[in-house]
Amino acid sequence: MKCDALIIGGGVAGLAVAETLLPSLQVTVLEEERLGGLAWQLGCKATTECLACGVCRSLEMKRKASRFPVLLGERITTVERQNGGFKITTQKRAIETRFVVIATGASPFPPQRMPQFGFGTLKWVYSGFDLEKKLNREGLNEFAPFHEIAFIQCVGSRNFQEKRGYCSQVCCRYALRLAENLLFRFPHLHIDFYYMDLQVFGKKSEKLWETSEKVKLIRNLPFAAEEGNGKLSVVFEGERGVSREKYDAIILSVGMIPSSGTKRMVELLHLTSTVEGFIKDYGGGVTSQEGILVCGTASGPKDIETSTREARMVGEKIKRMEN
Amino acid sequence: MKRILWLCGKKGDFPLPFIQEMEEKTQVAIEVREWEEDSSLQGYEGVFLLADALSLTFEEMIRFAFQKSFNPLKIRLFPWEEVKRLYGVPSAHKTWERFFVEALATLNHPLPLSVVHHFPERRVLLLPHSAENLKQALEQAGFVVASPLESVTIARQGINFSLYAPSFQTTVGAIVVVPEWQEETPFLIPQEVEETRKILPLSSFSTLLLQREWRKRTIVFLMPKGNQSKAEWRETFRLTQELAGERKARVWVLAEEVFVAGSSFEAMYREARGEGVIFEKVDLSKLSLRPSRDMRQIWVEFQSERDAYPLRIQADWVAYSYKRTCLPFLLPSLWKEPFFPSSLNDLENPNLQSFASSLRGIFVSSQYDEDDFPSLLQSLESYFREGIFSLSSGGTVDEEKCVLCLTCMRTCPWKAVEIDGKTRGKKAKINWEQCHLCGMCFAFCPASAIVVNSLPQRDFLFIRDLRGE
Repeated sequence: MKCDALIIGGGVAGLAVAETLLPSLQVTVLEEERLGGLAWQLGCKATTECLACGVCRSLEMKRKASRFPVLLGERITTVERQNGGFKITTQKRAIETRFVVIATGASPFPPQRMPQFGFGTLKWVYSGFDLEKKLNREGLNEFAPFHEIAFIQCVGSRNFQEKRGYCSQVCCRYALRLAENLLFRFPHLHIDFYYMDLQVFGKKSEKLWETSEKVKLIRNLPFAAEEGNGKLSVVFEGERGVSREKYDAIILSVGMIPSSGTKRMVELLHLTSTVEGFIKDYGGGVTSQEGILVCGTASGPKDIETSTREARMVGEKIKRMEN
Repeated sequence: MKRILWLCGKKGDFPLPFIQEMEEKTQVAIEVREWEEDSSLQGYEGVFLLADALSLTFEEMIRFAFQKSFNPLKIRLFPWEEVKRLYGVPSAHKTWERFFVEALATLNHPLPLSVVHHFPERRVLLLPHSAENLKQALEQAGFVVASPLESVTIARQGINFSLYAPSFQTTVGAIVVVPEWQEETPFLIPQEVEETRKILPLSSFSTLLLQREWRKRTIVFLMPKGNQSKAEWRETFRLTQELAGERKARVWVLAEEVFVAGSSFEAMYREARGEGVIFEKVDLSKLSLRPSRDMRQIWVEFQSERDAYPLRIQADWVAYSYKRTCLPFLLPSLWKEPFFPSSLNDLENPNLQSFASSLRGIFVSSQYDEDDFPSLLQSLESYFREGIFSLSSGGTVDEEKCVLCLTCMRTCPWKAVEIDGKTRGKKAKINWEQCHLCGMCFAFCPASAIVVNSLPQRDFLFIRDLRGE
């Protein structure tokens, strides 16, 4: 099998590259699991108005995917350089290609790795990603009986000791959008927001700043969640030593870590990676290997909008290199 | 026996008992399948799509049908949203059943419809015209940019837009709206502070860097929140780190929120703090500035989050960044006709929607964010290349019944209803190139003058039933 560009990963970024290249070049998308990637699992957070979370973009991309060849359920085993291009073998076939675009993406931080917040052991502790998936599938009716909810930001990101010293860029905004959505559904809710800095920028930022005034902002980073008398409490260091605040549910806004596919690509293709494990982008999607480009969250945490935009730029770049 | 395919988002979404009941009543074989891109449609009499679960628009549905070489007129969108809400209500169940039976019956009768593929004209209008860098980018990408020298009025003409100016008239296929930003300081700068000439915006501060001696000087950076560019923060981190590190100055950054959401920003923030830059989170609206007695320094008084009492710094230099707010762009004011599509009201704040507005052919771009251009060019390119599908003669307006109440014109989200005819006999007329077949006009017409041939509008029978008509 021969093609001009092989795109590894069928998430939003991968599909956007394919879309950009489509009419002039032959593309193939390789996806191990299923199309749509991480963004496809998220839910639309619109209230009476669109909050511009961009999830619908991934839907659109996925629908358009029927136009180009997608190889599902295949995994790359070996990569060789061959007359100016690459020869890539999967379990089923060999593909000859000129360019490789890596769009293997990121995965949400598993909150089990921070056991102090009791994710998985305490009943009403959710991760932000859980909530997104719920919103996508069955809705958030589960939250109707609750009165007080806490969001804990920066779970798994901005932590230099654990080699995750980066801001995940999306958590503040998705948490605020979820808060807006929850407040819209259940106006009786009281939401507390434990945070470091609010990173609100981009589309609909005015609206999100408004939301940030509706919730109670507490600039503090809790260190544990406990259960007692059927209620959860958040433990943090307040002005007078350790303080506890009671809640019905706790939502952990988890950040992004490089996905297993991204880590595999780093090893397989001998790419330079950042300290955090993302693929190092030398500007405009250029990696340490010639002919291999990277886009989307494989090179660092990004929102859907930025990933798509970056992917399109990479697409344009390949077109220019081809001519 | 007829075979019907029922595509839905997730099987669990849908009440299967109802489908089984319908199978028995109507004697057709209904196959329920989850939506997949490669689902084959061959061999089925008709296809029902649960429109909401798949979030398909009608146009996308036609496109989908063309890809599968299936007659798009054999596809029906099932009014899922109404049904989901009313599931279990007996009367709703009845109308639902009626819809199904009706839809099934019409699968055999050819509808007086045809599917038309339109292509918009490959010309672009930039609004406002002053966005030079965007204009260059568009011209490089091979688009023809219409650049009228005078102010224009706009009207729709099919899927294109007509531009009217006193001296000329032309047609464009797409309009790109470029939002404008208003820059303001979030705090008051008193006149006497300004006179010290020690306070200046960030952009002009960086030019000072090489010329001065910074040792043991105090420099205060004031950063408001909201709509600052990443470049501005990158510059701040770089400047503060250099000043505090190499040049041995005392640097304070008073920010409402420190921006770290960029690649390697967190590390830069950390490095700057490591060099001794003090980041303080303050409410800038409560900041007060006044000059020192010799007019060579500025007293900055602020209330930090941690302390109960206000702090004062004697600063040698103060650099500040602007707070930017998006100015509403009044596209409706350029519209020729008095009625403006309500869906365009989103554009009052163009900052909110980047990729495309809800109206065909109108795009929004940011002039300041050059990263945005490729994305815009791509959307324009695909808009021109792919064109638009529409159904022609999907219905008619019964001229006898039409009372010219203009309800249809007001409700139509796509501005597809026009008023046609001579002064006396003016009647509503549907512009099929604009029509998205949403059925709003049909549902809301008080005189029931709009008759539809195509089925998607029948969804709105539900609305009529619910309103008790």
